[in-house]
Amino acid sequence: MIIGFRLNGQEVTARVDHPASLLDVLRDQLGAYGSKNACEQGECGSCSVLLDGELVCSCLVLAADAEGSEVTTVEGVAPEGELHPVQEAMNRVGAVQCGFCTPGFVVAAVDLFERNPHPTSREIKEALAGNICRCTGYGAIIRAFEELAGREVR
Amino acid sequence: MIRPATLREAVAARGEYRAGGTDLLARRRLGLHDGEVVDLTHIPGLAGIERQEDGAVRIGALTRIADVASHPLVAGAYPALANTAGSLATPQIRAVGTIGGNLLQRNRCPYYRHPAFSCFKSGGDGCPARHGDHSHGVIFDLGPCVSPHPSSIGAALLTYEAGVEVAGRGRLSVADLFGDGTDGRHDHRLGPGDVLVAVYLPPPLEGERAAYRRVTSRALAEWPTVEAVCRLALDEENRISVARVAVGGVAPIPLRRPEVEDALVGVSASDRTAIERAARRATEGADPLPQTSHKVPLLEALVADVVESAAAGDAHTEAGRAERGLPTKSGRL
Repeated sequence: MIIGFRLNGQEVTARVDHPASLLDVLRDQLGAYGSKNACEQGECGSCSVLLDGELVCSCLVLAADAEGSEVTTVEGVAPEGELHPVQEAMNRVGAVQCGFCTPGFVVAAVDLFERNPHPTSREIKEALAGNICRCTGYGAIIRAFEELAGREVR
Repeated sequence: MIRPATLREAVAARGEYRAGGTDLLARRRLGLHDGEVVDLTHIPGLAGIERQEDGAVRIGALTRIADVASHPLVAGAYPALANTAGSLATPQIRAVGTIGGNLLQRNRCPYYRHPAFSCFKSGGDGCPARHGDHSHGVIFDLGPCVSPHPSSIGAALLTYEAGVEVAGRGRLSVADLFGDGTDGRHDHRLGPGDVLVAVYLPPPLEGERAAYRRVTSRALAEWPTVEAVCRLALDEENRISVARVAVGGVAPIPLRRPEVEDALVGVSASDRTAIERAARRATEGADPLPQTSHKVPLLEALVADVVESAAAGDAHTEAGRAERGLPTKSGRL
């Protein structure tokens, strides 16, 4: 089956022959390598994308479900050559260790700040609960978003 | 993949039904297939929440967990269900997973999900966890499989005495959906061709209150070690007149605790000693495994906590939820 959807504002098509995941199609057919393939069990959030504005794990969404929808990956959160304020906040604080989880955290944080520009620390933690950093670098990640939210940073 | 357009076609199709697909895709990737995928998402009318003429609330089986958590009809009248839905898994999973899928998901036992092992649930004979690592296992050893049932929603629905509608079979109680826990091979009692269509919540009692609590090894986004749901009605003298208590993480099925319910009736809602005494009955009949005895005191304490929370009515306010560590509205449940 051929599916069509909008990926970061561009119309794309992909061939789906079996219950492939959206992540498979993004990485293997569309060259969008920003969304990482780690656990493939929906546990780690490193494949997080926005599907019609909803934060989802693309490894647990059937590619066929994306038909006719708008998919935003980490590549599409800011215009080419620019950074999203979420990315700038992570840069300022140095909220990156090995970097593998970073795209997922960026997409989850973009989703949070679009809904709620001034989240509390608790709301930040709730919104990022589905993203795991194996380096356990959560302190800097939370601080970056507390700063972006205009909260006093501990 | 089969994509039926009607319920009739879905009932006739043979394979593995797919709702949100979060459990199904993760499982199939581990090689745990149960036939071709039968995708239910193109059948109209399977998602949505509405009040029925008789005051009951119908939740379509394909309603997403996030919508169960935030819908005003659920959050208002069935707060323990809303809080259970908002507490489970992660934002990403709640945006895709469905209430029907949560009830019918397969077990999370690492032996069942590991390709090197064979067990009752993967079609073999025996339970490697029983003689291996069963530290996440049951304390009510009701059947040959020692892994607890994974459905938090199931425990919440037991306290609300909810029913489910199965295409061609009519209504079934949630208790009957799960059976008695003696069947180690299956996680529920639906068979081929049985499509879960909707969940029905009976009309709430006058002034009833409820709460949900879980113990996890991580602050958020972890399967519960033990969990408990309580629903109460109080009389004019603030005494408990109706009590419903169900627990999870401790048995092969979500488990109602009638011993606790009976002991709570007549107790003053502010009598902590009496509530704690009743809560200790939550482990009556428990038969912990060598590695699960820690769950016995955890469950007794958690049941006391959830009953006190329900009695105080604090699950019904935003401040009360934050105080109790439950998800708040702004976290988009």
